[in-house]
Amino acid sequence: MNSSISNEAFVLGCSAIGAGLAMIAGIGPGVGQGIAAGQGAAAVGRNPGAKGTIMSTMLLGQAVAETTGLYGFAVAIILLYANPLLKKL
Amino acid sequence: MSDIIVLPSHALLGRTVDFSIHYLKEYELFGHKLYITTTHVSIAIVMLIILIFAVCANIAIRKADPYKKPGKFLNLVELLVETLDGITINGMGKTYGYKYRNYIGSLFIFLFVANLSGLLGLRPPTADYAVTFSLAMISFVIIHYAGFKYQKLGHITDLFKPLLLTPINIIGEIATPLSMSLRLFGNILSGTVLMSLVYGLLPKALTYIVPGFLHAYLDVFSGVIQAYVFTMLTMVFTAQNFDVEE
Amino acid sequence: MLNYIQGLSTFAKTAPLLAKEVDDTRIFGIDPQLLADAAIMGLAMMVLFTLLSFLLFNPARELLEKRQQKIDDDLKSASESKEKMEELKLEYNEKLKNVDKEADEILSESRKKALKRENQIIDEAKAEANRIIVQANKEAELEKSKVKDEVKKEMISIASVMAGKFVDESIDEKRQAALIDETLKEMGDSTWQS
Repeated sequence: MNSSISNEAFVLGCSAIGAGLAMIAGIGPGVGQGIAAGQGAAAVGRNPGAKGTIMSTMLLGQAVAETTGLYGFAVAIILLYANPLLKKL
Repeated sequence: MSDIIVLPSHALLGRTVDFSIHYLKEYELFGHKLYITTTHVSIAIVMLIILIFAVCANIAIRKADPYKKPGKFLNLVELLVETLDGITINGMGKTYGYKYRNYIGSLFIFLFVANLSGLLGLRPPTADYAVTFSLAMISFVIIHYAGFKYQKLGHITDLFKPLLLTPINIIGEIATPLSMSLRLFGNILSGTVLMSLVYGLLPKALTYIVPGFLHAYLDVFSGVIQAYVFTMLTMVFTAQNFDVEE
Repeated sequence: MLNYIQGLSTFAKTAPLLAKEVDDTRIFGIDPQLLADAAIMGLAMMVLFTLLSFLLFNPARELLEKRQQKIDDDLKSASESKEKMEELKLEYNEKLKNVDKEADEILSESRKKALKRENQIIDEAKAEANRIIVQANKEAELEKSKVKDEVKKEMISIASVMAGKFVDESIDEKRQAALIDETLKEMGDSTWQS
């Protein structure tokens, strides 16, 4: 059985699983952005006059909060396309 | 061809998904094999678009009589310049903000057109880490130039302020351009990957209808937001080094 | 499952999943290519920045500034002329208010002047009349003395005729002359003098 799986295939398979796991990082930004959007909606409800400022602040905060999710995405991309583990074989 | 990924699934019906950067021409520099890639072509096309617009605007401005009502195109140009200046002054304050408005304006225009270039069928240049890394490094240089200019030596001693947190401060400084560049890169690349997956997976007839919404979100909305965020973060990090309280 | 992994393995040999195997595509990699691309992008950004500053931002800002300047000037001159107008209006109103007074003043002044002139004319007329009267008196006097002289001469001649008749024969010529003198003296003293 062992002979039928090459080392590359094993590393690649594990990398694919790792890439999938790395994308779990998308949960955090999703929740955070949702909270930010909810707070933004509440703020607009309280103070409709400041809609423009609230919108831009909210989008800026959401974009910054998205960073952690994108780190996960970067890890997944690296694992799939620029795999550093394969070079160590 | 090895540049095209043939996904090993029967569901794809032999369709291809392609979202990678292609090498076009090889050249050698300092002993390394390097390539001219599709990113460079995209950058050239984006710059060409911007420069054609700029030349048209320049001709319109030269022809314009400042004592008369401006035409439609000139109005657009003035609106653009005024808006960009307004964003810069808003983000960086009146005292020193005006010094950076040309760079901030150029950066925003470039990012805007580059992020939207996915609509033209190009691979967006910002979906190449080299481009976002380069822009983030320029921002990094600007941020620390402002720091040394306005805070003198205090810019360095601030790193050791709580002595225990020195490593974290240094890592934080280094992380700034990395997070900026990765944010932009990740956003645009994820958009590109999703778009090419959708184009590859859908039956050909449906690709004329369905991806419209995805284009609207992934290219237009996300791209514009990210262009704004990148310029905004550059401005915020630069402005926090100014020695005036706005 | 095993088959799938084996399939993935063969796929890995043909597909560009491995950076070192890929010859003509890339997605992400930390290598010299990244640095070269970043340098090219940096140069491109500098060129873009320079050209945009030169072609778009600075001329557009200059144009906007010129227009702003012009609008400011216009507003300034407009407010200035408005101020001037306001001033003129105030002046006119004051003048209008003062017109009655002025008219009265002018009337009274002219009245005064007319009165003065009247008096002057009357005085002049009086003086003229006086002068004329004096002249007339003088003339009358002159006439009177003339007439007197004539009458005197006539009287003298008449008297001498009469006296001649009286003393025609009795008195000679010497006597006659003495008589006339006497008579004249008497006349000159009392009778013809007045």
